[in-house]
Amino acid sequence: MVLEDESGRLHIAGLPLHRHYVTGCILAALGTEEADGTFRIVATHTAGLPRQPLRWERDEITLSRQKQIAPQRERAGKLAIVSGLNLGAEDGNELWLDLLVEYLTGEASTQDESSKITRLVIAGGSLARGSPILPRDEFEAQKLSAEDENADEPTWYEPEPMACLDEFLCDILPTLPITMLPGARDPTNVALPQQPIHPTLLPNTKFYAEPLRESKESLNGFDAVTNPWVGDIDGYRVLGTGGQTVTDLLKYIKHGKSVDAMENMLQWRCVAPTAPDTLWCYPFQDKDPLMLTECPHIYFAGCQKKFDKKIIEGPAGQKVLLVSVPKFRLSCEIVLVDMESWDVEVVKLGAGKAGKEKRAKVRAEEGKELA
Amino acid sequence: MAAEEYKDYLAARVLAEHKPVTYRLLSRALHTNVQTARRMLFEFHKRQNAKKPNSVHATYLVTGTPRRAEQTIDTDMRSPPFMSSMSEPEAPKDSDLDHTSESDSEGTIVPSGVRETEIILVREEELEETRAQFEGELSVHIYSLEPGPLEDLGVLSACNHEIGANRADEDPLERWKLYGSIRNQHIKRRTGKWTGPVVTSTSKSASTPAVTSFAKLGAKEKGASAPASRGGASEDSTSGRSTPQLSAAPSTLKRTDSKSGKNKDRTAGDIFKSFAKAKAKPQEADKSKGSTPAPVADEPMQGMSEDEGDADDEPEIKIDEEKNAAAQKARQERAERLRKMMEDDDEEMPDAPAADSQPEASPAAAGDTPEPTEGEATVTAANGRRRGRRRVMKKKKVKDEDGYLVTKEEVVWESFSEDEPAPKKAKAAPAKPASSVKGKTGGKKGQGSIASFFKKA
Repeated sequence: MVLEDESGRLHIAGLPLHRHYVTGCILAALGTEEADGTFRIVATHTAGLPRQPLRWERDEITLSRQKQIAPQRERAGKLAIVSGLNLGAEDGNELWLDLLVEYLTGEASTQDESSKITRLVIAGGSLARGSPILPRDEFEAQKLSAEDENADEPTWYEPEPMACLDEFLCDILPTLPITMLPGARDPTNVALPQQPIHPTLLPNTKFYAEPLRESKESLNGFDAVTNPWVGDIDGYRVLGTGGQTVTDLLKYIKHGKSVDAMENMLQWRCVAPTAPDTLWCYPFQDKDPLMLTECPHIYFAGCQKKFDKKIIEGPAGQKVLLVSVPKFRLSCEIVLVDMESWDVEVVKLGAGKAGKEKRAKVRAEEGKELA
Repeated sequence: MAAEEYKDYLAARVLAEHKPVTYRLLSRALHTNVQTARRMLFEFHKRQNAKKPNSVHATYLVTGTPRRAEQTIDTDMRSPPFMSSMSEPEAPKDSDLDHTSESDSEGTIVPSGVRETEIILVREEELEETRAQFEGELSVHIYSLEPGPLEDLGVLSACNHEIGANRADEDPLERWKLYGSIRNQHIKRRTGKWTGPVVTSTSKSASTPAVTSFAKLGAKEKGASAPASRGGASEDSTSGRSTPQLSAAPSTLKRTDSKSGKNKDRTAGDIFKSFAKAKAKPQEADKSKGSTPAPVADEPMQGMSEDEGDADDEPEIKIDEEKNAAAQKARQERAERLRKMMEDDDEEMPDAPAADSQPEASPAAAGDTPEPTEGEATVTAANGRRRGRRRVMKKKKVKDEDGYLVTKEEVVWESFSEDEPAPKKAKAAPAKPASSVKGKTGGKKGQGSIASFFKKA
């Protein structure tokens, strides 16, 4: 185990760091140098939560620059977060998706509830296999099968899932603005930070996109954003990821929970500590955009195993809501975050016995895939 | 409305074709509100089964809060076994705050005071059973009708797919009015192709009337949906709270983003600004050209007359006539010059460096043609007299030792003054020689008003 900075590396001894840190963490270590050149650590400390901006800060600044008075702001509604829609998966059961659309558009039943939702965030994983580069397990499987058949299977492109996603988004957009983050298997670049899904891939949805603006406030129509994404929703600074960072970090830890991993990321001020190591990442030369310089108010990670939430508080009064969002395809859960009270709700779509059996089957398949 | 129509439709589809019908499909097919469609389904179900028991089967959508003690549903829906130890969060909320940086804290129970809502699709037979699993507010809506119990609820999704097929022609932004879904006021949909700022401006103008009409319809919708709300169609909703429409009408209005209105204005302003700028540019170009005392004869002294404003306030119409004729001529000239310049440039450019190396070539041989070209002038106008210095590009043509013709460009400041308060004729006169020796000067001068060059074409 080594410590590294821009000047060099230092072998360390003493405290077992691996119990608290994963590779790529930023930390301060107190210790002494031993005779053999190793560094014996007595204590470590993390950077802690960075400064947290006030609500509406960015807005106020631009307003005051333009010498305008802040408008009377309405009560913010709820933020709906889903992830892992996994369109194009084998089971082909779109009923839950239909129910999701019906719920969000208020056609299903509870219009008084769903009318409070003011934005839908899709936190990655929209497509089951949209990535230009196959994930490693699939790639190996394909390689094996290719060896078996002794023939190169040409990579083919299935347009249906994308068209399906397009339709899904178009159904919801007249009702809700959508912010969409790409995920691990979405058709964009693979290395972090991922670029927004290109509008031409969504031929109907793109008409809802608003022209880009300078401000980081979320757009009203369809807003395709980058994968680790920082933006403002209802004045709050929101940090969101498609979940790769958290999932990758959890590979280093036994029995880790997503929210704990997320909390640690904030403490380390690094969104993707494992990034160049086990997670693909673009090699930035001068600055690291995966570094946290400002503490978000809400931090969500998509495509996690299960729903969880946590509120952490920092020494300088920072308060962060951490939300891990499960895969919709598995759990059929929608996470609702009340942007005023920070109450978190879960809406679960389900079915009677018939649906449950089906779901169990899907999950078993997914479990196999994971194993 | 369409009282008999729906019965025919349902009878044809469910009884004759043996296909399932969801409330959405029905509402799309008959162009009615989803609430009305649900009521139709319910009535049809009741009537048919009264006539002939079990001829029609229904599927319900149950919404409510699941009973916490009832773990069967939850554990069933949780993912892999190692997570099951933390299936349902029940611990006190306080430990939210007790955060340690131990990332390997062994699967403690997750605290979360999280409200949970379940929306479950159940078959008729399971309805009572399912309802027992819920507590508190509960609403039951009919979801679909089908000839017999559904084995696979996925069939309903195929049914919903049919909606997609026949809605291509309608405007998605108008859908909420008809079917009673929630509407986002700030949504805009561009129509047509995305080709650039011109299109965005047109789409903007197209969308503004739409927005205003929405605003008007907002009020109308309230009235329209009120009758529908009575037929809330929530069949035996135990909570009695499911009259969604009434609350929906105001609550749709809630869907706002405080800034969007402003943003709209801002973007619009930007577009217009950019247009305005584009328009302003040629004017500026003209002006700068006009201020040089050797302009082409067209659009004479826009800048000048502004500067002086006295003595040459002639009737405008006269100027215009003059202008038109002059402009046309000038344009032709300019076109000619541009063409010449193109040709000349090709020849002269390679020579230019050579000229630098031999600045003292014999001037007489080639017959010097010093020509004032473009320049920025500092002009002071006092007592109607103009005096100033201007920077002039002079071209010198010399024959160097090897006998090549070399053209040099030199920047020269020359002072000028005019006794008269710059009448038009006086200004036009110096232009004459400049334009008569076409070809060399044209390039530089023509550039300022290249926009007007294209205007002709």
